[in-house]
Amino acid sequence: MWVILLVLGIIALYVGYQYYTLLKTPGALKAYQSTVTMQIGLQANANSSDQYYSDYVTTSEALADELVTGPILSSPEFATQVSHQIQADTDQITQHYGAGANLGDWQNPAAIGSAISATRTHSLVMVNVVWSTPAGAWAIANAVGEVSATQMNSYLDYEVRNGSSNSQSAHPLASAKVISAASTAALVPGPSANRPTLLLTLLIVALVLGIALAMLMEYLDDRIWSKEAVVQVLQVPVFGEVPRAPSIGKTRHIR
Amino acid sequence: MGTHSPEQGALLTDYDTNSAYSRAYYTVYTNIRFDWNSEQSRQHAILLVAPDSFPGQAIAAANVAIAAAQSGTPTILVDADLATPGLDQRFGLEARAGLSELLTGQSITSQAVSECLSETFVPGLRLLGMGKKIIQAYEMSRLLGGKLSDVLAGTRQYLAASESKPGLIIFSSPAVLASIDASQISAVVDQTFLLIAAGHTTRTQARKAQEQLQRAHAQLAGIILLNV
Repeated sequence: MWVILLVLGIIALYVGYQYYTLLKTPGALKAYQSTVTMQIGLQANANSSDQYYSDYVTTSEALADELVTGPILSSPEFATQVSHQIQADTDQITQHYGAGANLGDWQNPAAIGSAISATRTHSLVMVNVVWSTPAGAWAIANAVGEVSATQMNSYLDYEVRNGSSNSQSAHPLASAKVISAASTAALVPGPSANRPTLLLTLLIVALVLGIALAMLMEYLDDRIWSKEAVVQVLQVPVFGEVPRAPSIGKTRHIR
Repeated sequence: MGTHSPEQGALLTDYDTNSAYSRAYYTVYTNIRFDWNSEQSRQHAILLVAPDSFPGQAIAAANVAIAAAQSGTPTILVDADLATPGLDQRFGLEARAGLSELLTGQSITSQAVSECLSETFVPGLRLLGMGKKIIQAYEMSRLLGGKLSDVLAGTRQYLAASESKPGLIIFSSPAVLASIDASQISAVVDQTFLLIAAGHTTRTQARKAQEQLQRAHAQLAGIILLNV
């Protein structure tokens, strides 16, 4: 029985510690999301003699797909540029969220990379940023849009040709255009929002298992504990019930 | 006076008479007294025995004997536990001739019984100890089967001659399932009481002990539940 209580106690301590850690971790249980929408395509070029518009559309969708499914947005280089852009956007951030707004761990490229995700519809790419603070989420989404608009051709570095590779004509480069600026950060469940439920489930399961185990031990325990039990077993009257002898310290005198 | 380890070895006299522990033993004795027809059996012999060995079973018998004596009933406590004798030490008495000498003696008379009895510090309580003579286990069983009834008769005669009031003879023996001695004693005494230790004695042990006592045609009168 003591072993069951000990195991239950350890599980309760573990659950308590995990829950405490979640409460103390910024953005674990609740976070803020900001979205920026961009269109990926090929830069218009007045010198281009390309007549195949359908190829442009197909190529834009392929580039958008690579941006969404590829490692570009989560790469350290991209995240570092975003971090630098945030530093350059101080005035904008101050304008939106006031001076000294809490941006969270915005100088950490790894944290920025893991906060960015994207989806696409044809050549429209929606970049979502989930961050522990509203100002940080907006600043990163805004910076992602800015970096993409200026640097996309260096990340989607393709040379699009529709003829002989020997052609000397200029060829369009990949580009990104911000269609919808970074949205105001909205409160969303954090990445560990379901952990408290899981921890509570673990605690309840452990409690139920502990009770079941205790009942099983009680069922398997053949020892006699009560007057009723002994009368049921032997069908003989009980002449007396003597309590456990008190400790010697409580006695009147010792012979 | 008495030597003991705490709790399991402490006699009833070590406790306040108003304690729940003491009152429980007085209740046990009173119930035994209610069940004892002193008109038919003026020297009533009972056996207090546990199904399986546990510390404190001899002390339980000694405490019932003390409660009986303190209630005014002349009482003789017989230590018939060859495996773990020592009630004389519990009462602070020197080892002297006892049950083993009576069983191996030529004749068992009230006089012989009288010579083996020791007065304890509890008024009205005498002790017939195990004795000093060493008896092998198999021999003890043979002697109990052949001579215990004579020892009991001699003890009854002694009580009848020395006391005007009805007297009580209480046997303490090894556990029923530990030795056949308990069954042999139960066959000659008037009543047998099973000592059940709560949280120690199992249902299986209790059933087996009851079956064993039934084989010996013992009169299983009741149960005394200990360590509740």
